[in-house]
Amino acid sequence: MARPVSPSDAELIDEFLGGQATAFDALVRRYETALLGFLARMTGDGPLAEDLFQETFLRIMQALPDYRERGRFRSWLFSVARNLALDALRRRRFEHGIFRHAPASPDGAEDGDDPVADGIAAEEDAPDALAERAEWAGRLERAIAQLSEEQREVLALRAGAGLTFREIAEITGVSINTALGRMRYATIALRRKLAEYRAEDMT
Amino acid sequence: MTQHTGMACPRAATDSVLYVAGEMAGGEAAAYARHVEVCPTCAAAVAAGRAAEAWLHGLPVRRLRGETREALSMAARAFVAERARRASIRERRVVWLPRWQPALGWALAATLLLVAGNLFQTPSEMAPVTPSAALLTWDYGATTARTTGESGDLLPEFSHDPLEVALGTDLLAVRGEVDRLAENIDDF
Repeated sequence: MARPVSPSDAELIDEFLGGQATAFDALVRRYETALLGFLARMTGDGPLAEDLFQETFLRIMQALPDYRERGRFRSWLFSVARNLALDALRRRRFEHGIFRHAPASPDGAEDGDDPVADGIAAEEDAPDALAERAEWAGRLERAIAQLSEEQREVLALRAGAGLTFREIAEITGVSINTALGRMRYATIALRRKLAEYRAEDMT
Repeated sequence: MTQHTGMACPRAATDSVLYVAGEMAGGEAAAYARHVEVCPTCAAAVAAGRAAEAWLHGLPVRRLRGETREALSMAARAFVAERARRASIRERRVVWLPRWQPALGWALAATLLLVAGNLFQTPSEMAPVTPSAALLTWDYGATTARTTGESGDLLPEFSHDPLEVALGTDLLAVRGEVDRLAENIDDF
């Protein structure tokens, strides 16, 4: 749930347009985990998510002098990011002919393909519990990547970015009930997929 | 309160999600909590939603690479510098203008006076508006001024057809007429 923060986004924007570059750094920091989490879950690709994050903020920066609705910065930021992510996914589908992250094998992506698992596996002395968590997280990320684009989008905006369903409905251009329904079906699909992974482990 | 013992409860699809997300208004949330106690479909939906929230919150938090953060920071500094440069150019233009403002003001005032002087000439000072009279003014100076300004009744004797005058067909005849008139005036 959104809580009022100080300084507000609008104040940071005013400071930035007034000549304080550090105010923009503060905006980037404020949305770093939420926006990057959303983009990573949306695209299923860590490096691409990072590129899109950068592109989003560069576009935002160029448009800030003409931006009037300062109170709705968060929705605007995520709308820009969402459009860039959708474009990138379409481009990738067009270039590869298939959605790269739909795994060919039941086990999903190849070694080194999962940025989350890679990041954690890089810690050489990781205890077993951490390795288990990393494995679980990797499966969950792959299960998310296999959701339909609409479901993944809502899930990423909710779980990755912590947006309210009202904001999600506004950003995705659907009714709030549609957004809620997509979240519900995404949850069901995730449970099913994770149950499949667990069943594979048993066999 | 509606009790659903079957598989489908219309509230499971949307209300359960809102409830788990904590986005239901206080009174509504309390009412739904009571409903969940008696509706297995909604109870299952809420449990599934809570489990999913827990998994998703357990996912690792992502951080930007240092290079990306640095690139954005540099872009922000460049943007601010460019805006400052443009602002200073605009400021210089504004500073330059006031220095020339008095001179520009005087020049404008003088031009306006000249224009106004021409516009507000008295009718006796003004040249006749007919093309033939204009021709007379040009050819005969002071004599014509007297003829046309003070004795306006003489004018109808001239050709007033602009086309005729413009074509020059009547020019010699007009000049002869004017000479004759001038002699008459002198005699008078």
